[in-house]
Amino acid sequence: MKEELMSILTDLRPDVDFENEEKLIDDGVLDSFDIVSLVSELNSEFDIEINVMDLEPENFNTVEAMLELIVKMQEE
Amino acid sequence: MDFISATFIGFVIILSCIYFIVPDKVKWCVLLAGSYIFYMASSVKALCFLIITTIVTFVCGRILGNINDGQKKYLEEHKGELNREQKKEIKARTSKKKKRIVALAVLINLGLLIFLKYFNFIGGNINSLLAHFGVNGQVPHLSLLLPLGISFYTLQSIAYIVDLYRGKYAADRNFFKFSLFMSFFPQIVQGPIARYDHLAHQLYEPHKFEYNRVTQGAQLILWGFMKKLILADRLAVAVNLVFDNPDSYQGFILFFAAAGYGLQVYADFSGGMDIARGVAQILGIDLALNFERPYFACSISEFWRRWHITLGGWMRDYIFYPLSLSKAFANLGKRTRKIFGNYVGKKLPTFLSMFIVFLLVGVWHGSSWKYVAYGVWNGVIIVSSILLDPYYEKFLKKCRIDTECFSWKFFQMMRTFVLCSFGRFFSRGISCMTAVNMIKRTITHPNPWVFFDGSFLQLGLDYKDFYVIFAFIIVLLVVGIMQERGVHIREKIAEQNLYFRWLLYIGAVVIVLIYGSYGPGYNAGEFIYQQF
Amino acid sequence: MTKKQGLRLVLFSLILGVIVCALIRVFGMPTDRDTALGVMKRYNDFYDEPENTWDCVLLGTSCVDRQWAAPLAWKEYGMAVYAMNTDVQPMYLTTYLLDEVRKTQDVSLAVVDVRGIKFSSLKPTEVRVRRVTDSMRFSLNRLKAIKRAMEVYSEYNLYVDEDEKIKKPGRAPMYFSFLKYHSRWKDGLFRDDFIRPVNDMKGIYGAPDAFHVEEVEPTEVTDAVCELNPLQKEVLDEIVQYGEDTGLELLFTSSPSRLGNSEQPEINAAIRYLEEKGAKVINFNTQEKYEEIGLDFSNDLYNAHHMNSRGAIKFTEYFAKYLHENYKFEDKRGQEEYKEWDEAYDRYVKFFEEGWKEAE
Repeated sequence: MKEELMSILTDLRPDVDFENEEKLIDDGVLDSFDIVSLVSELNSEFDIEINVMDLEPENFNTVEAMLELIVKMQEE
Repeated sequence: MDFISATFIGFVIILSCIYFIVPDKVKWCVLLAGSYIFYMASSVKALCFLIITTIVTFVCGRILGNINDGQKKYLEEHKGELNREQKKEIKARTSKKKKRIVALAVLINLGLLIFLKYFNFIGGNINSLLAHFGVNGQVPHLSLLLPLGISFYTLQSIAYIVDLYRGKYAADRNFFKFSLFMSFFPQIVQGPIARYDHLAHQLYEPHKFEYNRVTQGAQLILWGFMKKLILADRLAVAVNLVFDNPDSYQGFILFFAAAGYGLQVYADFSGGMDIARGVAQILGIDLALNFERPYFACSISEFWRRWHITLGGWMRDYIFYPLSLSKAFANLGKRTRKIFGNYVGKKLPTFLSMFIVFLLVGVWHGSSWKYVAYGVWNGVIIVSSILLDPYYEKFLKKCRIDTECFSWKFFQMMRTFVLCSFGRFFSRGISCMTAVNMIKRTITHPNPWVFFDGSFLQLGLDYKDFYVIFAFIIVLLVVGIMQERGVHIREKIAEQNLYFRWLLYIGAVVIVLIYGSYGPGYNAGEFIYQQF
Repeated sequence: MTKKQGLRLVLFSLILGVIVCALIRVFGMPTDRDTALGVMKRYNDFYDEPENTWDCVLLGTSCVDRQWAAPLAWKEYGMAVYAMNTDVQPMYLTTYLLDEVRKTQDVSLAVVDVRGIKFSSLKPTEVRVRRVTDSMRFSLNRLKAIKRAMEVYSEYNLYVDEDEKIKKPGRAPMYFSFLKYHSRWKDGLFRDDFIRPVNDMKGIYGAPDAFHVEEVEPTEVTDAVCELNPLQKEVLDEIVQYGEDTGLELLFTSSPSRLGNSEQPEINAAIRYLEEKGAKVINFNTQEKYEEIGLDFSNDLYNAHHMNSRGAIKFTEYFAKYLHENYKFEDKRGQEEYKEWDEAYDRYVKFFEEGWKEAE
């Protein structure tokens, strides 16, 4: 699952080092455009429904957090 | 009560003293009383609107909170018994209930705002539309009063309601505490637009007097005064003259006025924010940051992430995300992919939402077509810059432009500054048509001689004023560059010797007092002996 | 807050307060524009005067100090009679000025010139008011004076045509003159703004006009009287009432100079009104008085409304004698406290002689 996520992310923003960024949102690495594209990609790739209410910085600051979110969404 | 007044300073000093003296339990009451006194000092009549919004928001919030709690309790009690489908169904059912409440709250609060702020604008447009078909003035023009800060506290209340709908936090249980959240005086007039989960608990908790915090807050207030009095109000003289007589000027003078207006608004608004944040800091409350050196932005979209940040954040969370992620917009994207191709189709929902956001940002500033145009101007630039991005990159590569060096960054900043400044023609111009006209005459009548023939000295400012303006802009730049590099100025000051610090503070006060642009002005001529 | 921090806060506020006060003092009414007229000097000198040394104070418009050479009266009779007029001194502020003077000087007589009762002189232009209120030290009396001036703005406007109505200046900048004068940084500050000048000739300020002669047509004296409007009456009532309330003896005068035909009826009316109220008035603008004083219209004035220093000497001789005969001020010549007055006389003699030498 991580590979798939990483490929989506690098597709989205080839210029960002996702492995080592800890504050993707807080530091403004990803902007709201990126988030919207990312969420729609994730929704179709993993067949989940990430909602507006899940768009909290802490869910997207790191790759790990995104993975957790995806797992949580798949369980629901 | 104006921030820039001795009354306000006195008010803050007295309020802070009372706040730190009274027992912890009632500290928040002091803030509530102070906030209502502050509000009434500006307008007693408008208070009822604030109270209506507070009541509606509080009550609807309580209902939403109860629904949330009920659902949670039910789900926990029947944990083992429900399967995924059933859970979903329950959630959908409560969500439907909640939606009705949200709709009610938003309808009343937003309705009040729209009625008071936009009724005459909308009515006027309907009338002129009807006049086209030969029907005369059907919608009356009402003399409505626009309550202080309504554009800010309404957004704040909507954020609270929607967050409760989303189940982000529990609803407030104390009406009076909640009233404080809705009316906190440093931010009621012009923001920052607060989020309940960030601000409310800070307001309710008692804060002890803390020497360093108080001095830091006082410094921030002083800095705000400097921005407003030295730069904003001085620039305003020339800006007003040009914008009030747009036909008398052209070329660079017009551009100067637009750019100057941008600077004026920046100094005025961010100065106001500094004062608001400084006052809150004295009381131990941390208000959200609203400006992050917008003129260092390399693009318009970055500019809007640095300018009026809390409004941008609000628009992002409550308009942009919900719209662009909505099913309707997603479907739209899918369907248009066939027509415009993959790239555009994929981005279309985002663009459309972005465009709507900027329209709303524009209209939020005021009820006039020029603000609509202002929103469109920003929206068009941002959307087109994304659309054209691939071609632009190719072009840069072909021309072998190094995009990593400082000069390129500087070029981008200047480009953003110029684009922003042109946008200011809309927000400051008397009307949309005047603005378009002014832009036209800025571009078609270049007049570089005005830099040399003293034309700038005919705008109500003499060369000494310009010295002060330049000097202060340099101070702003130096401070901005330091902050961009992560230097916390006030902490740096705190590291210096006492003597230097005091010299700095006193110097700043003296500079504001002397060079501030306030008062009726002294005209040497009037004191020459006039006997009869 | 620790004790140390509290102490620091207090100390800082004190230093800041001192500096702000200094700033307010420096950015006061400009001294360079008005030095010749000495408004600032007059008030500085007044506040510097040793307490309770004056016998009498003169109030009124610019004519008063032009015609009164206090050191001469001192030399002759040992009386300390001090002029506290300003240019077009608003007559509706007279009682406040008297209060201000009486804070430090226990004068037994106040001479109030009535030329200021002319309706045109009551026009409360900002500068006229400011010459008085901005020169006064901060006190409750100053605030009251400003309040009164602001009232007069509205009253004055009742009696003039629409296009002559004057705009009230902002209230705050009247009370806190720094709001207005801080922008003086643009026009420049001068030595006198930092070190306030004093000039000790007991109320005489070296106006160059003092040594200038202009041949003026003599006044065509008339008894004509016009109707005073309620504002004029009110102003006179206030002053008379002040005398009754405080027991301060008042003497009204109409300073001798060339008066036009439109001015005399107003002044005559004021004189008659005051006399009807039982006040003591001397009208110096009669043929008889002109002769008694020895006023020479071709030699003693520098313009129609003001005497030069020659005229001043003639008038002072006459009026000092009158005061001496009628009010019996104690002769204080030779007293240690009054040495300044002797010095002032020496200065005045020198000033007078050199001035005329230069002029000729």
